Amino acid sequence: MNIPCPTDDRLKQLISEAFDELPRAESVRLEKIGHRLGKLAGCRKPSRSKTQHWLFWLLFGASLTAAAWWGDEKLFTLISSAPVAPVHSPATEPAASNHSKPPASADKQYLDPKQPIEQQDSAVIYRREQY
Amino acid sequence: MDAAGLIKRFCRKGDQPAFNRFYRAQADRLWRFLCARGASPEHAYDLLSESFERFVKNICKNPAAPVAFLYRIAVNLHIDNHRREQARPADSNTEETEACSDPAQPADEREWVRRLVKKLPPDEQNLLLMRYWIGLTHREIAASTGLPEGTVRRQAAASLKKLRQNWPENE
Repeated sequence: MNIPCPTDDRLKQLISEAFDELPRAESVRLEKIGHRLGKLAGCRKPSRSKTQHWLFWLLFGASLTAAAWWGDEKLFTLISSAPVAPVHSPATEPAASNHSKPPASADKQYLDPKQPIEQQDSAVIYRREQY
Repeated sequence: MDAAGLIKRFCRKGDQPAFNRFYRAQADRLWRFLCARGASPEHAYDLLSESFERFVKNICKNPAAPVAFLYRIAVNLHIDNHRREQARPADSNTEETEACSDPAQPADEREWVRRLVKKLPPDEQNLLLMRYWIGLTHREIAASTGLPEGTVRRQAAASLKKLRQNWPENE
């Protein structure tokens, strides 16, 4: 049998036509398989896209930063509003015998000019001279 | 919407009708491809089913070229199965040879083409059918076979040349 040799383009076309001629699958069988696959595909959870992941981490980071900033500010407010206890150096501690007398307030005690001069190690760094 | 679009919708939104449309568009051709590659009709249904199952489980990891991915799975399953068949006793292969046999004397050039393609090595058959029948691009075939795109292009040209050399006029 003598069939002329086709060109490359014709040969490509022939491949497509030749295999398209093959008998088709039974549609009932394909439907059955498709039905089963549909169930399998239905069980699959949709995946999140990369954009959604990116957005999630952005929002997470932003909320974390905001929480840290708010918490820091709140902490400072609490610290500054808390009453500060007077600090006494060991040298200025009154003697046990003076405990019978009620102690004056810290400011009054330090600024009292009638205090004896020998109290050198006072907690007061600077005291205005009074003439 | 094209195959890649349907699969993207399926993966992102879990759109089952999109997957069903993809299946309806590809199933019959994949079955015929498996049959053309030497599977019996009955066995081609099994391979088709298993290929799509694996496809559903794995396609969303990289949904860029779904058709190439589907054919890659099918070809790999077919090769595995062919190896198992070869390991069995010889009489188990009779069904396949019956199912896909051509008439003894081809009547036209299409029959000649089918016959000549079947004479090629399996890799070249896959390549020619994927490229010129299924319509995959060289790049898609390269992605599905793991070969460089240039190699796929050269192999396709070489396989076409081989077909022309084996053409009955030249014998």
